[in-house]
Amino acid sequence: MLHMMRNSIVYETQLVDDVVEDVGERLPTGWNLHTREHVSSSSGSRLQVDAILEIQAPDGNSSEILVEVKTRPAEPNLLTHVASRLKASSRARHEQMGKAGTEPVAMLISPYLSSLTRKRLIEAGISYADGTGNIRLAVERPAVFVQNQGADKNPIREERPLRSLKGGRAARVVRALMDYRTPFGTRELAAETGSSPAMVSRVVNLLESDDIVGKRGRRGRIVSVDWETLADRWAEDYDFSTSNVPTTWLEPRGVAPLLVRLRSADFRYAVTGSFAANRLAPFAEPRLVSLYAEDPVAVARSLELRPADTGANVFIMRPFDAVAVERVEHEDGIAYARVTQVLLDLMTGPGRGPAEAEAILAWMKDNEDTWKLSLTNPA
Amino acid sequence: METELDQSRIDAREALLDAVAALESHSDAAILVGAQAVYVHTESDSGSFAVSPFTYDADIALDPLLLRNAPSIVDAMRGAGFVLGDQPGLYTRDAHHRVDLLVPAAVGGAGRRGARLSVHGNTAAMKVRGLEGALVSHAWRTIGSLRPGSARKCVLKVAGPAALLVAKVHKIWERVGESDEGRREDLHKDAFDLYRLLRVVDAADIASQIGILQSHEVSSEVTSAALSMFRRLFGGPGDVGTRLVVRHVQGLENSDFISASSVALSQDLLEAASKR
Repeated sequence: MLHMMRNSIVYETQLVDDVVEDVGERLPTGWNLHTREHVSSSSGSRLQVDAILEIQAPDGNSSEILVEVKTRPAEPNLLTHVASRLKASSRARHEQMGKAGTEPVAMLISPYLSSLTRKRLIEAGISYADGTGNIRLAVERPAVFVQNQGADKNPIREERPLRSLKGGRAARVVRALMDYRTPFGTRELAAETGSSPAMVSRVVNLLESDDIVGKRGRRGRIVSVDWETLADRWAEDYDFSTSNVPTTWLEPRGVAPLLVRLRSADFRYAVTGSFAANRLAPFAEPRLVSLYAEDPVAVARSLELRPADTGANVFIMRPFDAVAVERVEHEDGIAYARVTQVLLDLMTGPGRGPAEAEAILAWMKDNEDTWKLSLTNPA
Repeated sequence: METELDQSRIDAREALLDAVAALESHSDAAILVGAQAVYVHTESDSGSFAVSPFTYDADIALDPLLLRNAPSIVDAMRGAGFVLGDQPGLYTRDAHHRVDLLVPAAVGGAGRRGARLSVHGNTAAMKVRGLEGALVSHAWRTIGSLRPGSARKCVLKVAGPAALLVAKVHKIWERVGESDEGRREDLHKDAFDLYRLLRVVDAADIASQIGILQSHEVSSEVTSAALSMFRRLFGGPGDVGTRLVVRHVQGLENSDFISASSVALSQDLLEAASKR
């Protein structure tokens, strides 16, 4: 398969080489496809193409394929122009070669071609191939036809630079960057924490420009994460009450019986906010419990809570991402959200949250060895 | 926070221990009621509020059928330093210690305020309506001193939660309607004591005890009356009893929570009682 999806910049040459390899593997035995020349735009060639390929049958007959490369996904509205240019080049090449044989095949190569784009290309009689494996190559003489279905969704969309940490998947990566001890590679961190390497790269790229994440070496291993500044940066895009979906409940007997029931909970949850903070940096005894759970209504039912508009003392948050209930810390039978999560929840939370965040931050600075995690499978 | 017991509560417990010792011969007849009895049941939850349980009195209900003829109640109390004041049954020692001896109205005989207690006279104890359940529902408990380091204790009957709830409801119901502001002043404390009971005791348990009180002739009428008063006092967030509960912890606890909690627990009890 092709490998360019993982690169943020897809180079023309690489793209063409990858396509040649990919299509070549799908040809019948004895057939051969190779690149005859890469045409640079400055070469002054009369042909407005980016590459010339040659396909060869087992009997030695061959045909040329004129390729136009679009490094950005080709949109349907560009096609009329591309088609006429390719056709013109094809005729010009035919004349150039003394009108021997048939006109060269016209082909468009791009990192991604949508189904609509592909339909238009077929109508225009233009062959195509993209980086996800969508292929249609129709050659009249020597006669060969290769077709393959690739992606129907644009994977390149992921590669656009990230502008904020608002989305759940980005926040998931932020948590990973805060939680683990450096150094680690993008891929290692992605594998450990269940993020896509592409998303890790995008977040790292964003934070690298803010000097929050430091990379070193040819492979760009992450050697430093300024977790304190990262917390501040994340807080710009995160809000405990709005990034999560809060539901409010009443335990009329106060929080003590709730904690008892949580000890025998058979669902995934994580206590956050003041309660979780109080465990590490004792403050005034909290009267309100905030916890993450992916199905708040089912959890509330199981905890025998009642819905409450006013006077609620239990908040159950459907989390921005499942990471909120992952890497929890157990104490006395209760699952507490990781301290990095608790910190952000307090920083951006209501009431005395910000003051409690200060206390937690001080604890975190003194106890980095305690709360930082090591990768389970470092490279 | 409730890390330290306040002195008045320690003193109230000492007064209770002294009174129980003085009335030792009548111990079968004596049943602890009122706030001190509530705290016996709610000790496990006492750390949950910013307001400590506090009380200045020891309230003891007497069952006339179980009183012995001697020693005289008034004399025995005087022997422990408790002096009967102008009102029947209200004894004081120094300025702060107060012990109230009370007789449920249903068994208090004729008379408006003083219980008719034959040889003990008409002023030894006060007649109070609503305490009847204590005669039916009580258990022997060991009550210790609250003074740090003190091992002093006594064993006495303590009224059950439902009986205490019925008594509190009657007290609140009677007094909220009174014009004398002094008599209404401390009602928020009584309301909160009732709320403390609801927090600790399961609604189904209270409801089943209420059923028992309703099945006894002596307590049947006051208990049924208490249930309808309770509904009107505590059934909703705007009701007088609920507002009193909130007022007791105003500024110290989240009023919205206390109100919602009180209403939810009261509704639980009413529902459990109606299923019986």
